[in-house]
Amino acid sequence: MSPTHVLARILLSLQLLAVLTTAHAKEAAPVPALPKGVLVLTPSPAPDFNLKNLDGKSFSLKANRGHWVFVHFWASWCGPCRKELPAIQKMIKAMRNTSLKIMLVNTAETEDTVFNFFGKLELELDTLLDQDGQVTEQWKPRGLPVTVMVDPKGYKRYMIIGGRPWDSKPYLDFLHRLIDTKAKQTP
Amino acid sequence: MKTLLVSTAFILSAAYVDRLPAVKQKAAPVMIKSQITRDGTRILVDNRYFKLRLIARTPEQIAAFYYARGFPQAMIERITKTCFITTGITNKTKDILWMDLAHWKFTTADNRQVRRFSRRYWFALWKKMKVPLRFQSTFRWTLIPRSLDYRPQEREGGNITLEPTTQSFTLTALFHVGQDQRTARPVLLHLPGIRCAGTTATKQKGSK
Repeated sequence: MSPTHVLARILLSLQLLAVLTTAHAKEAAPVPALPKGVLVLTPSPAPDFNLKNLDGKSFSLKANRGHWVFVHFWASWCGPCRKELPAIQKMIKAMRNTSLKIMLVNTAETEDTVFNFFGKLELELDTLLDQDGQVTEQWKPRGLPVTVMVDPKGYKRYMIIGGRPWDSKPYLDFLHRLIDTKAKQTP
Repeated sequence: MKTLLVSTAFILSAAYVDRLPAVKQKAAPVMIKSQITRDGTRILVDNRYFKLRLIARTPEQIAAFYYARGFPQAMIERITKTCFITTGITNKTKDILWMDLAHWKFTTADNRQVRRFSRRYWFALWKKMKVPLRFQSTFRWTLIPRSLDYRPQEREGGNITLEPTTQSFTLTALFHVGQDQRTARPVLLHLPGIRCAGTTATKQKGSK
């Protein structure tokens, strides 16, 4: 075997080794941990709803099929909800150029209550009004506030319990990972 | 003394388990050792499994809360005749903490059970009173869930509604700790010295 052949074999072996190492590194890349309070759900169809917002315009969950949807249940009397809403407002701004759809659902309060509440807290948010509380009952959240992430096929995939700093990096990264992922995969 | 305490704990546990509805116990529950802090109507229980916070609410506090939500007068009148204890539980374990109100008993010193009004009770009452759905829904959301599998670090709570009493009473609450409810370890909390903050039904002249 000529020295050229030996050199070629060595180079080939090194290339192969490099390819294998890269492949292994890709496989072994750590899966990012879910942020605090995120529960993985056994996928189940998200019940559809059709609710009006503060301007009286109707919105349905089904109309957002094909996108990840952030469905958030809240009430003005719930302390953790009050703390969390400013962070949600910032998150909405941060995610405005993405495909994420956001639906806030107020549980069982009147338009006036919600309007006054947003005014007091200087929040520029829109919310759907589940005035008789029946949509919330149907979704059976563990408590208030609660967020459910619905995948592009309309399945409930994650439940995020309690008030969370949605404008912080771990939660924004989590949302970005979701919208970068196809519905079938779990990020 | 230590033996006496352990024996007492075992007897209490065994007696409690006998009364439990439809719970198959494989092991006697472990009596939980807790640090208990009391401040007026507030009680904080801290142990290796969970933090439990109980706050007895006065009728004035309860009425103010529901008035502010626009609740009908008749509903508020009924609500303020109830002993309200706002309860918060935080799971401190890395396992699931299983809570079920069916395994909670409130007993006075003379061994009388203090009745807990269930969600079903309120649902039937509000239905009978033809209370609008949105008030029914809000009221339900302010109650503690009937049962819950608390995930690690999860904190959930709500009000527990009891028959009013001027006597001090003891809470005996059975929890389970473990990933699988069927094999989860039973742990028992024994918390004496709970009081209602006063209700319109029990408030006497000169009482706080």
